[in-house]
Amino acid sequence: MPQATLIRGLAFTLLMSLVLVFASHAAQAQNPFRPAPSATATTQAAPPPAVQEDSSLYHRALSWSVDLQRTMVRDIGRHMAAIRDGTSSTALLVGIGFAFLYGVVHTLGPGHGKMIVASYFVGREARIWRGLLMGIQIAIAHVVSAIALVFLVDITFRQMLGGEPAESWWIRLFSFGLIAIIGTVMLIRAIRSTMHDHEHDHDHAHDHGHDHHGHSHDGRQQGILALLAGLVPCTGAILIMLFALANGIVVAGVLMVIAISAGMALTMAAIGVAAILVRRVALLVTGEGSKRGYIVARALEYAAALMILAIGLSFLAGTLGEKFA
Amino acid sequence: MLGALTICGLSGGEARAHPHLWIDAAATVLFEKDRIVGIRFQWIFDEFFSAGVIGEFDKNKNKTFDAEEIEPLRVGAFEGTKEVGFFTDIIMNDTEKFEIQTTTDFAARIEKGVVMYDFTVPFPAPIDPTKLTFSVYDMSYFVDIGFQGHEPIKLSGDGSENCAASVTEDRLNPIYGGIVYPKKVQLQCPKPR
Repeated sequence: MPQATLIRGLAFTLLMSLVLVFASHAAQAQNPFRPAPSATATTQAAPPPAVQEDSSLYHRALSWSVDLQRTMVRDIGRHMAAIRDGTSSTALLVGIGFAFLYGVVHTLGPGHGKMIVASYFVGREARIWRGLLMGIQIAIAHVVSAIALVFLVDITFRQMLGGEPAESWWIRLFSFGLIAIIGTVMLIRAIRSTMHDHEHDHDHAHDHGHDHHGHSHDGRQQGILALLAGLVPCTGAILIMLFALANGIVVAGVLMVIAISAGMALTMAAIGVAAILVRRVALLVTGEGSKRGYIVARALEYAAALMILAIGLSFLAGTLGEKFA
Repeated sequence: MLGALTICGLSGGEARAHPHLWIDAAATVLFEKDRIVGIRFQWIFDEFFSAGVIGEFDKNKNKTFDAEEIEPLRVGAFEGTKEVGFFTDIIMNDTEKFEIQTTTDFAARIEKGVVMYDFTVPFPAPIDPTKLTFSVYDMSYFVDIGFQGHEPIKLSGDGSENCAASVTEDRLNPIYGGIVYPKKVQLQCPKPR
């Protein structure tokens, strides 16, 4: 059952996070405001070589999302300050509203697990509710992770002048590493089922879109991916929780993090459902059951596996690069 | 579609870091005898970072930075940014990059729970106002800093009345995987009509 698996997965991941948190107290986040601890601190290089101006729609959308997030973070900050000071009776409600919108926009912005969700559902036959479920799963992982992380590292972190707990580096390493591994597993499965199909005659009409390994396996894989995608808490959630904890408004903080995650769930679920529909349309157009349809289904499966592998590896490389570059 | 997926994925990969603190920057360009002798910057921080700084440096919890609290604050939560050139790029005489060695007259205060810094970057020699360009950004995008507020650039001093500042996006030098364009300031003298 997906629920039982999710709970088990959550427990496992929290345990791992705990281990990582305690194993990593020496680690430092890159905050330029901290007095430079070593020569490894990043220095402001000369401006990067001139890049071709890129005003693609995608870039403009990202740019817009970055701008919008800037104003939203400031709005959330102002409302949390008002909650702390007790100067406004509506601050909590309005703040929660902004947090929800921030969740939606932040998820649309750069990074995060949305590409994982999209790839995952493009690559496999899935019912619509699975897309919705994954959004919710990611959100739950995100709430639990953000709150747990801040509570666990509170003592060391209050010395850090804001920013991200050093421990999150380890969480990212862990999460991206596992995402890369899942990508690899998906790739191996794709190769295996291609070979399996080749042993049979695939001109007759058995349903190739179907997963040969059954739905419980699928559910587990989806649960773990969702967990990993939600595990790295977003900056907004961390800042809110830290601010809440430092100012004794923990309940307001938790509510806002839940609101962010709900916004995130909405976006993720929409992306998941969109990916499921895109796949269906693609197969419908090419003709399901036909040889062409089979090839498209297989291609999508490979593309999804490679994409998730690439995301995992590229983020892993970036995370490692932060420390060793 | 696969191509689009790949492009999205790669862009997402490039832009993996999120900003963790936000600064609204403002600058006053300081004139003497029609030439620029320095820039006084103001940084206004977001509530979250402000709370952290106040918690650590407002030792007596009176919600102001007293004289004896300023120096530890300057050392502990300002000087570190020298490593990243105080997030400031100053180009003099069209092409010379000016490395900021010192800042003067550092001040910090708390206004409505928000921390503000003011500091001056003196120039080694007065320069022609039309040959100055400056911008603020954090290359790593850990810090989202920009000339965000209302009228972020002011000109002051003898000769400043002849010039006007313009803030444009530096589209040739994007940061954050090409998504964010730093704001670039240039002066025009005499003022455009």
